Amino acid sequence: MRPRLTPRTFMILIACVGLLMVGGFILVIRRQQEAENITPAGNYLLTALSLVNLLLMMVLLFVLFRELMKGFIAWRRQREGARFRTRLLTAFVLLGLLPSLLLFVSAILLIESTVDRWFRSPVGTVASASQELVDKTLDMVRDESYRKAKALAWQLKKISPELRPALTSHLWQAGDMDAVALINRDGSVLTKMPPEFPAPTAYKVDKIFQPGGLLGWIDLTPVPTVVSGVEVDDHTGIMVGMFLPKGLFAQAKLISDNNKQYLQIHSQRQTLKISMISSFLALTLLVTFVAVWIGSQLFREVSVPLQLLLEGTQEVSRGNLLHRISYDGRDEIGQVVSSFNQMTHELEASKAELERSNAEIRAASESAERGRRYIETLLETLNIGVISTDADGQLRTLNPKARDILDMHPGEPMRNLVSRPEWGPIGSVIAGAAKRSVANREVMLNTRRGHVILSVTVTPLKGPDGKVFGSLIILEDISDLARAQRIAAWQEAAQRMAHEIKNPLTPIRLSAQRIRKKVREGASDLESAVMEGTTTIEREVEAMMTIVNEFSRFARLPEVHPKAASLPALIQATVASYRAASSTVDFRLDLPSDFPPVRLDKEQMGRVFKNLFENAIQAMDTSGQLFVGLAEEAGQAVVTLRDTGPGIPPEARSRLFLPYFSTKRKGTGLGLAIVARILEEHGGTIRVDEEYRDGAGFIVTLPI
Amino acid sequence: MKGSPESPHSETRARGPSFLRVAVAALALLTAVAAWAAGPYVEGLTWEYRGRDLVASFGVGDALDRPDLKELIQSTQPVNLFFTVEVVKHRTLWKDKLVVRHVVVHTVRFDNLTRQYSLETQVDDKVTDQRAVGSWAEMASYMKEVKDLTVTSVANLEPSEGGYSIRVRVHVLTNFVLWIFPWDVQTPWVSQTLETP
Repeated sequence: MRPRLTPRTFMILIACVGLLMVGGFILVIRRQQEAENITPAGNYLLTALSLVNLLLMMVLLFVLFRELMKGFIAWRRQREGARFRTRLLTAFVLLGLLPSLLLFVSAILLIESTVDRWFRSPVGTVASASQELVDKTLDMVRDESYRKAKALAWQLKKISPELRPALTSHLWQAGDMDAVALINRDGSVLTKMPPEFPAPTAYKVDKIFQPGGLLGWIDLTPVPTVVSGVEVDDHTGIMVGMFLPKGLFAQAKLISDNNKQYLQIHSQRQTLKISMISSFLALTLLVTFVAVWIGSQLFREVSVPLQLLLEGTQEVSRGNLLHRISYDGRDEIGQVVSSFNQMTHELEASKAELERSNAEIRAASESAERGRRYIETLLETLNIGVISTDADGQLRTLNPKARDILDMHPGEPMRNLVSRPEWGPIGSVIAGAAKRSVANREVMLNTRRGHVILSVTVTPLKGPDGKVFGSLIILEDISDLARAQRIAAWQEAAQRMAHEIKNPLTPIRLSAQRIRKKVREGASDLESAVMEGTTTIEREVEAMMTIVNEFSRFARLPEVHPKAASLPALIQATVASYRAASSTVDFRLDLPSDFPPVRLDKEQMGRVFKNLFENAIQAMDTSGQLFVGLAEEAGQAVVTLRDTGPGIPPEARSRLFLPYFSTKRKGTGLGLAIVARILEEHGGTIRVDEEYRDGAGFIVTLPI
Repeated sequence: MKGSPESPHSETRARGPSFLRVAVAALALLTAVAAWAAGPYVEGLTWEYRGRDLVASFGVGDALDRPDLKELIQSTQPVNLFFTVEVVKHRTLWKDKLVVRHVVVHTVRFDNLTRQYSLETQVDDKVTDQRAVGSWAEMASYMKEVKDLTVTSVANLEPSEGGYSIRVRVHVLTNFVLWIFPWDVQTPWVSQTLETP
């Protein structure tokens, strides 16, 4: 990078140039004013000094022109900052030039008018008039001396040459003249009085013997004397001197000297104007140049960091975040540059962080993709159907097994599923799951392949914030399992029914055999035996009828008709009927009074609570404590029932809600099955309270 | 004269500015030439061998008649006329060789009290004559003439193929052009070939 002048160096240079110029002009002016012995060498000096000034002005003009041309060229080539540079330079040139030019023109006009006025003033007139007065006065003396010289010459001409010195001496002694000299044509003095009267010079002698003679020549030494001379004859001449009075001469000299000064100054008025104008011109150029230079310097101070900033931003825009601007300024621009470097540093760090995050995201994405593929593969290979929906219920995922279960064609769109009749039961499970954490229900679908029993489990999908963003639906074809369970259940039910039916049959058969024996024996107690036997048979048949009726009732449960009702009131009413009949059972209720209404079939739900209360009372052997609590949890009504009976054996808990399973000796095994089925019809659930250890506990949930 | 009323005017208008410019330029050129031609000039350059010396006489014309010079003299300022006399030896295919140069300075100073003109002659910075005269004509006669100046010795003029010339130039005044440019009012060189003795 080309070295540039520092502002300090430049200012020193400018000061030197200015001093040189001012000194040069002063010298020129002094030389012109004191030019008493101007020689060609002196002229050369003047010329040299003027050329120095001219050179300095040329330099100033060159620099000015150069700066303006650089700005113009940069502006034409549309370089960065050219417009700003041109504006700045123009502003500074105008700022410097306009006042300077104004001052310059004003100064020229002022000088012109002032200098002219000086020499038009009465001083000139007075000087001229005074000089004229001196001239007239001296002319009078000249004329007088010339007249006396002519008169003396006329007298001397009339006498012989030998007598002329004596007559001359006589006349001088008579006091008719201050000084007199009688001379020969060769300049030799015949006589002169007083003796200190200077001998005539060759010039005077020559003039004396010319026609007209010597008229009023003034000698200043030894005393100011006006000398006139004329020829007496061809060989002799007379010279008469008249001393000028000291006072008169002093005044005349004073006036002449003053007039001399005035004339000299007057003759130098043009030079004076030239000198002043030149000085002002030089100062104007100097001021303009300084303004241009300051503008240029300011532009450099501003433009260089601006250019660096521009390049920096271009580098950054090209992605080079390692670019830093090297600029040491401590001003505001330096702060901007520092901020820029800080910004690029932070951008670089952010970019590195971003790249690292991107890599992590990419890795996470790849991992997620792998996971997704894994899950996808898993879903594809799973033997259960998996469906997912979003928060709006739109289907998002449908794995092949689900398609297979739901009998969908391979390319059939998912959205078709919701419009198919098979979707209805599944949709109701999803709707039920919206109010519970998990919903599980077995549904039977009529597909083209026939009846399919599905275990539909709907689980809400929740984000980290607990907000539900969809549902996961697991479809498990449990047709075979259900069939097998049903067969097993019916087998068990048949066994139990057979057992239940077989139990009365034995007394019936025994009664019948006893009656037949009594009849065959013709026993006397035949009548009583018949009566006892028929009574037993009737009782056992009655028991069998009861079993059959219960089974019939389980098989023919009425349809649920839910309506909004108060669950605490229903529980209170049910408890009230048992509290009156079982005074030994202590009912403890925890029922909120402001519980929201629940949609339920009051008759069916009353049956649920009756079954549960009866089971508890029977288990506690008619005395104990029964706690019934009600609470709202996650949009569900949760009823907690805890008794102080013997509790439920762990091995019985898994089959507790199956038909014809009972832990009671005389139970039908249909009570809890009916309870579970009614609750299922309401979208509710019942499960054993695993946490309760002091008896049997059940937790009933109902959607609110 | 009758004719198209427009064409002559059109021609005049079309040619007018052009003629005007040419006329102004020509006038300016003529003025410059006239000014140059009206400047001082060397007159009466004569030379002769007097004994073993080359003696020359010369003068300057249109010098003391200049108003600016007259004003300078009347303002009692000293006024100088510089007579530069050179003898050069001509050389083939080379610049002339300066054999000798003399600068004669005639100085006049007017005394407004005595109305006398003090005159002085310096030859190569040595005062050779001083006198006073009482009239402008005497002063002018003295100032504009250099008589019988011994230029050089014949011994300095060796026979040469190119020969010798004597030349004279008179510097009258220094003016300033455009306020800052010193401009010498002087005569052009006037040269005469010397015949070697």
